[in-house]
Amino acid sequence: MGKVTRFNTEVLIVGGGATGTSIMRDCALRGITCILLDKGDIASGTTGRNHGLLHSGARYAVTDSESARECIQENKILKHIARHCIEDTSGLFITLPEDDLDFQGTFINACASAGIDTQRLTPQQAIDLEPNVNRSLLGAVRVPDGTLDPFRLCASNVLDAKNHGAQLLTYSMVQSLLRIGDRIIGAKCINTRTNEQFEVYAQEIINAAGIWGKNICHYADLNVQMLPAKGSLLVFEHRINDLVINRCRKPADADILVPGDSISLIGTTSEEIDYKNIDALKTSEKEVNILIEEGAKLAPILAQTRVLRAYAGVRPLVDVGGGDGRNISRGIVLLDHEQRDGLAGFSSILGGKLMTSRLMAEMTTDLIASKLGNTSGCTTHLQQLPGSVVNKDNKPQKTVFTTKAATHRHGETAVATFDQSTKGKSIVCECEMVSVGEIEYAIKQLDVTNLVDLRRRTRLGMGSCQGELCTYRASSLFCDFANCSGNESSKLLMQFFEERWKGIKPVLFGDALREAEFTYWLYEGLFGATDINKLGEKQQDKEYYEI
Amino acid sequence: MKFDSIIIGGGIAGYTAGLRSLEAGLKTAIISNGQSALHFSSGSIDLLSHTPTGKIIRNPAAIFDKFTDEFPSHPYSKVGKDTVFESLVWYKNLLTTAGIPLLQQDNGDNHLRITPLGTLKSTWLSQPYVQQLPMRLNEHVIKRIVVVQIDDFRDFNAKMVTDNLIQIPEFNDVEITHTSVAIDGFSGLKRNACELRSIDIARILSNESEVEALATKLSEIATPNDLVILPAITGNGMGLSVLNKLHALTNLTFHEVPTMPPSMLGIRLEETMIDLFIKRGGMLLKGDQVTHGDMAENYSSNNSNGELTLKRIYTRNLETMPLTADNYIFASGSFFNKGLIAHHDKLQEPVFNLDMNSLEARSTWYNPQFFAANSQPFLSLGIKTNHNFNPMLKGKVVKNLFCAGSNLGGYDPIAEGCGSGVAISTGYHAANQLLQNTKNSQSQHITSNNLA
Repeated sequence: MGKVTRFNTEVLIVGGGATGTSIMRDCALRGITCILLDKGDIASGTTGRNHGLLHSGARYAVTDSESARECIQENKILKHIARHCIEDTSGLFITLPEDDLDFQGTFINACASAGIDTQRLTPQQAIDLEPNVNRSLLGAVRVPDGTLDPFRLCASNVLDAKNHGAQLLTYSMVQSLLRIGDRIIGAKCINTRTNEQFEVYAQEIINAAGIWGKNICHYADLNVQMLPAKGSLLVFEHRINDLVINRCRKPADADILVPGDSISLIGTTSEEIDYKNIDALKTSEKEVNILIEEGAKLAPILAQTRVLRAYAGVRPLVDVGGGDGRNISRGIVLLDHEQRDGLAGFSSILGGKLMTSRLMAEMTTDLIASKLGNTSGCTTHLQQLPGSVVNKDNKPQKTVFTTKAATHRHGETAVATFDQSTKGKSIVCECEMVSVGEIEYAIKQLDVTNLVDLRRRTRLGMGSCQGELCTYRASSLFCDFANCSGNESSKLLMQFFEERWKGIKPVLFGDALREAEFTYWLYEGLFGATDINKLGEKQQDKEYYEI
Repeated sequence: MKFDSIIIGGGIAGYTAGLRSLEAGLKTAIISNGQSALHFSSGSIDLLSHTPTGKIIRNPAAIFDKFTDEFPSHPYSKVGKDTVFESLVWYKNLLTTAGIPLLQQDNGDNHLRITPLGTLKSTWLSQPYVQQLPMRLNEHVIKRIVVVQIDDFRDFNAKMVTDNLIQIPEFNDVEITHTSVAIDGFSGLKRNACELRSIDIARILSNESEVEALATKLSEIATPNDLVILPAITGNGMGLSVLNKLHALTNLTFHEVPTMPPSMLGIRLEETMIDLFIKRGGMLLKGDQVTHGDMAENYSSNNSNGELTLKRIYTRNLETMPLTADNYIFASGSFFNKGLIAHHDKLQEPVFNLDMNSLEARSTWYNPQFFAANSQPFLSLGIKTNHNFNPMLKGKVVKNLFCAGSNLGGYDPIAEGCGSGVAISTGYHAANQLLQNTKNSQSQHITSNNLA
């Protein structure tokens, strides 16, 4: 038997989504040592599979005033601490001829009581602000919605936490929990890339695994009912709207259109799914049709815009009642299993939203800190994330497009460390203006292990070409900066296209099919990619067609 | 404007048909909407590498009859063995005369070319600096391979080629290394990836002193016993002469491997065909696109379905001024070229609304895996044709319109390794049919004159 690597830490966090990475940062800032594990990359679960909407809370104002209040509070905090992850676009709630204009009054009042600023606009004022909005609108209300890049938020949380001594282990899955009597003392884990096993011993384990948290509880023989609800979204090739566009009515399917960097997103549908399907989400043709039809009501040009891809996420709804499905919470659910189940050393933070991830982390870390006897208060709402800090020293400078894009993604401090040589400055992804230097930084500093991770950190391959040309160039940089062999880097390339294919299949028509045909011609017709997996076979052992 | 024949589409099928039509003395026009798929092709001509069931074909001629018996709906089965091979010999001679020699194995076997990923692909005709590895790969005579990386050129990765080639069992005894070489003329261009494509290097290498400098560097890293793998970075028309010069200066054995687009190997073929077409008196309407056409119904007693004749076509640039011809060849390409359009609920041929070979729903167009062992079904979708490659409009045959190349259905150009072979043979075959139609109508004309 080989030696099993052991890690010791005060806190083990399971799950590298917005909540987990926020807890990691919170712990680190309070001087609590911690390790965060994720079975995949950070932000690869529900966190990276939603609208990326910086809610003002207005969407919940009428139906859920508590969520609305939480949202507007966190909205203001995030605009301060995560400036680089946010675009302060503001949002419109539009009333269409088939909607009830009286709802507007109810809506404005509800926003006021939740503390959300509103501005009532005439149809013409709305059109002036957002020329692509449905011009048959009867009215609109402007609210402080914006966009929030969840990938960037998580990466910044991790970066700040690591700067304060925390440790990240991606592609690391919990296999079982280690237990002595009524206390959980650690977890047995496996690295899913190398298949190496290891153990993490911790005083407190926090389950922040979202919908997958049910499994983690299961390892502790605890029963937590989670109700997975799938939401599908479509990504469009162009940024067709500059403001977030919502319908001014009670929340329904496909009624939020969010701009994001160079693209726009429409979502979502909502469909309860079986728990066993949470890792195999598919967007159906029917959902695609609904999203296009309903989305075109917000901005009619959407129907003529190329769909780049579809994706789906799972809402982590928790049944906080007796498990009979009657008492379902969309809010924050913090379970202290010592108190609830008599099992010490273990807590779960479930439910919630991307918007409330920092707040969830604050609540969780407060609980854990008190158990550990740490008296430092939470400062995550005060301290800016690494990329958010503005350089006050505004010297005149040459505008370099890659620098501008990268500053937007990582903040000035990080960009200043990029390789400034000719090689470092050369562009790899022209759709999203990603340079060699930025890729080097992402591989070395942001725990990027493959091209899919790289896409989450830098947006490489997210633009209109869907990575068809730039990923080849980027794959070779894994040889330069991550010591990959040429064979490994060619496999990274194939993995990227397989992952991409998942999102393209549901929308394989029009230009998406054209692009797919081109990609296939190039990588299979010209490059012979499929044979990468068959290199070891002797030619004579293959099957021949003879007379 | 009136022509004997109009070819819609400027890819390999369209130019083949156009050149064949000119050769027969017909007044010919080609309408081409921009660049063809040759800009991302290997510049080799694939004839037939695999069966639709995935078996490897060593010698296309040897198994051709068995193949057409077994796969009767394949375009090759409609063209027939004689015409397929006649067309390829014709194409080979045509390009060779025009300065792009296309070479093949003496015994008619396919050969293997090295891909930009360091895998091997089977093909049939290749340009002179594409090393032809034998289908029986263990018979190769390579001792050492040197893969050349051009410094700062990111559209070709020598390490990938090397590390994958090493894993091929037949190369166990071959030393495979990679090394990088700088091209001096780069220094002014390096800042931006868009400035560093294969075609930019080709431009630099049109300068003789740059070629000489490169030759000196290559001589330092390889010997005449090695196979030197170079990315295809030498130009359009003059590309081969640059390679000839490199070879003369170094005495090295080169293997040109295509790069990310633009692929110089494919562009060489396209530009040569365009040159030939114009020099031989063809009319090229470049950057124009056929929008629609007028059909007339022929009442014929021997065809209960009725037949159609394409009377005239309209283009985007000429708007209301139609073009007319006795016969038309439709080589409009596949989805990428907009020869076929996929809507969310149906497939469409966008110019004439011709019948398609499949009405199946979208979910049948793709496989769950992108790099699936059995390829992608959408590659076999296309226009439905009769045995003469005449398409149909609501079941009625359009008798003076002939389809050629990748808008045809019923074959998979990539998995079967037959894309360029089908393009050439169907383009050639379509031109032959058109000649036949012309002769028939001339003889009818003579007959009726005599009667009068």
